Amino acid sequence: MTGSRPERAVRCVLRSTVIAMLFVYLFWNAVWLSVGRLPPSLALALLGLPSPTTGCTRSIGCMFAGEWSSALLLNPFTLPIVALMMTSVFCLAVNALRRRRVVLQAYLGWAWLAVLSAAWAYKLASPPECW
Amino acid sequence: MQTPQGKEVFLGLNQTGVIVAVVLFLVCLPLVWLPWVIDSMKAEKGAE
Repeated sequence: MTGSRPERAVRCVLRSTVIAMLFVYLFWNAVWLSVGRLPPSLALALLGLPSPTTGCTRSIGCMFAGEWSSALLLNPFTLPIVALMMTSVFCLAVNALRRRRVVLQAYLGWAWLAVLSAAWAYKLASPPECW
Repeated sequence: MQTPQGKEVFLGLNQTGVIVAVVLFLVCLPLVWLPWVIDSMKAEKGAE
């Protein structure tokens, strides 16, 4: 392994954090699914704060039920996030089929950053009963 | 999009990529694949 000692330490901490997070996530989901319930947002449970996508699942449910005002209240960024997800998956699939490098175009990377930042700012500014 | 850069920290990601992956793990796991498809978050091949 190359790099200075602090550099190696940072990399080691980051690696360990990713692996630890994976285990925490799997454990969290396994516990909730074992009692027959959908796992709630990990960020909300651990930090007490909503994530940019908190409320998206409930929002989609409301859209299918025709309750558009409730859907917008739960997370107004659900449609942009879903559209971005579909566009990204489509672009990656096209790249893979054409045997190109499977990477996102720059504008999609920036679009993700913009949409997730705006969604997070909105969720943090909205009252907790809307989380 | 920038080309892959920096040393590999974990599974082909550079330091920025791993930090973004950790944040996404915590706040929004369904999007945790993003760092692996964004060039500037991937490590240079052969840089370790």
